[in-house]
Amino acid sequence: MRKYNWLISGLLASFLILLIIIVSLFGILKYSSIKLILEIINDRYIQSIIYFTIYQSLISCFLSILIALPLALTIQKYVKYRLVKIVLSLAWLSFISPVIIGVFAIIKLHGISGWISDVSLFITGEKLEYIYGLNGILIAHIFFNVPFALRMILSSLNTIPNELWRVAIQNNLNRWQLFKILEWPAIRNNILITSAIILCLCFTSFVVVLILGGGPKYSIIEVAIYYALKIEFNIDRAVTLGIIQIILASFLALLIISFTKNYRIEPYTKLNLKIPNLQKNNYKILAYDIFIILVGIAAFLLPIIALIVSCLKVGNFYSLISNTGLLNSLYWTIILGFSSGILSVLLSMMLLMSLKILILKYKIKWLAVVIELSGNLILILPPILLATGIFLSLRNIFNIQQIAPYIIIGINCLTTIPFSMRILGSDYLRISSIYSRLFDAYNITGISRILKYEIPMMRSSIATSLAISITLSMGDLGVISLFGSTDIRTLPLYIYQSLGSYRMDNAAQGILLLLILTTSIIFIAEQIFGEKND
Amino acid sequence: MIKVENISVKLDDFKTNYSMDVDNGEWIGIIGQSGSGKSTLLNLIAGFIYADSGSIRINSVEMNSTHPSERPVSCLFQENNLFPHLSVYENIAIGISPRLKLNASEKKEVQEILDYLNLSDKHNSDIGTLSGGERQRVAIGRIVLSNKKIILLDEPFSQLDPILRIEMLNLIRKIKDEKKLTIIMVLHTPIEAVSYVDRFIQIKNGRIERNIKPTEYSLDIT
Repeated sequence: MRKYNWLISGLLASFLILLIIIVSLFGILKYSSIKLILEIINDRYIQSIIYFTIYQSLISCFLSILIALPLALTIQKYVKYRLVKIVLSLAWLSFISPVIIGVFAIIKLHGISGWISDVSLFITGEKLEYIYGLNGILIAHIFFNVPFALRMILSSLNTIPNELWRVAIQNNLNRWQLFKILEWPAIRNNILITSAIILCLCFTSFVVVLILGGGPKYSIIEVAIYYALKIEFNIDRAVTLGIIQIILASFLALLIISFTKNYRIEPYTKLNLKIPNLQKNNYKILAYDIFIILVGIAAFLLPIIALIVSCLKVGNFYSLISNTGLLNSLYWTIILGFSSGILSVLLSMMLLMSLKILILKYKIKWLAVVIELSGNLILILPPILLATGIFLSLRNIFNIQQIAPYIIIGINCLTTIPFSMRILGSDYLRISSIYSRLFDAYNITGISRILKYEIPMMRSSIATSLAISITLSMGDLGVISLFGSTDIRTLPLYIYQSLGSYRMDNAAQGILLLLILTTSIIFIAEQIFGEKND
Repeated sequence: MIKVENISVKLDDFKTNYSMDVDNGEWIGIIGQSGSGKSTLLNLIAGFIYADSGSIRINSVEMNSTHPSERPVSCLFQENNLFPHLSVYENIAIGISPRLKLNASEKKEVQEILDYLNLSDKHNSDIGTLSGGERQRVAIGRIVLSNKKIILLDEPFSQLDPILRIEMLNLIRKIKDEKKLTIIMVLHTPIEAVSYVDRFIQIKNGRIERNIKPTEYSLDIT
């Protein structure tokens, strides 16, 4: 029996994950029928939502790459400077911080009472109103995705051997030839992967579209599900939209999985950039570099500065601690975020242990695929739909309000498992393959092998995956907005409600706490537990 | 003539100070322990690193702030000399036309180099299909085509087997004599180059320790 312990852990984790998914799907399918689906698909509103979901994803993806590519090619020349490194770290932070923080930053810069509007008022005497609708969605997606694309392109450029740079420069390749002969071959594959990931992120960009869409006209499928459930209480429509989302997301997930099989997620701070700056510099090139860097600053640095300034103006410490609603939200953010994050890493490790033994020892490929798939299934199931299904299945059995925290933890945990598995997986399999003979030779097995050897060696990746899982869970707005109440409310929900009722000061207080909380977690994970690179 | 006078550069905790003269047509072997600053010297001459102080003159022309492409210098590295997505022909052609748009006489020149290096049958080959020796021959072809009179070789053959290394040294000598080139070569196994170089320069802790005649070279010198 003992020799199957490794296998049981993964099967148990798979069972738990599949149980949640099956319960949810049961609830959804109870309400669906082909006739109903066809009726709703023919609805012009639904068609316009599907069209807008795809349209905004494609445009966002295109614009993000369009900005990130020249920015990366320019910034690569200056990566040795400390200031550039700090900006890159900030950019990475904006990608992994809760989305609502970024959205708030965008509103602070581009909103009707934002900096740009204030400047316009000063110059032209009129305020600017462009943030709600497609404009806002695109601006936010550029803000979130340019740093990500930048990171991906820089890491590709970093793979160009130093010698080839030197050969190219010595043979007098001009800027275009450098791009064509040296840089493009190194980045073209990653551009494809990056585009696919950005497309997927924009496709399921719930928080951005919910807040900046400005209503049903500019809505994506996930937000339409939310409106159908929360505002119209039209379960049929929510279920049909859910099924459409599953079909489209399956296609995207397949795209992502096939592209990113061997891709390892690493933060900027672990990216040891060593790109030499050997290119000729003249005033024209310098002017171009400055222009491109200014575009980058406008895209993602200005919102961050606007955010920091607004957080600094939040008020005194007493006003923060006397706001009981805010403190209650902080409490639930910590409880739910940490629970989901820890559970996510635990389940991911259990899945990986079995995967390792199935792949390396027993070579039972089909079972390994089943276990891996169970961890990644969430990629095609939007959390909001999963939550809807669970609500529909359990509402007649339990008091949903009483079990809400467990549902939120469960769903948020599932949404972060694919990330945890990706971060932990490569490290775990690497360590297993390097040290397996040593472990066998000294009969290092069981729990002591995990606790005393494997976990200490994986300290850095465990810390990273834990930090990302916790911060992603803390940033959730979809599931909490369905199951939350005045008693159970996290900071993102508190901020969303404050924004909705124009209590900007309260929203800023929430943002400040969420920002401190998530950046502290990321800082601790990277600086204290992370590898000491660069 | 290459005249290096007190070139100094600080790289992290490592500081160099080199002074040396190399006559036109000379073949210099640079020796020294790893980390002693052999490659740094080549990088300074090639212009990949700019010196903090001192001067580099090539044929009496000050080169301190000259861009690498404008120096009469070509380099051959241990690896990664070739662009993996370009064919053998294109990798050589870069030496004459970075745009890879060659006129008839340039095409003829590339073809002659391919013939000269016995690479004609590899004309359109993918770089990934070549052996280590063939790759270095392609890189040598580009260097020859670029028509620069000083060649810097940074342990270019250390990944090849001993017989191939000797073949390559013979090829370099042939090209050097025909084209009247000056060669500065960082050596991995100096003993093999004893019958090729005019003198060895020994480097230690970022400084030139001494000049050694090939006849004076012995195995205890590193």
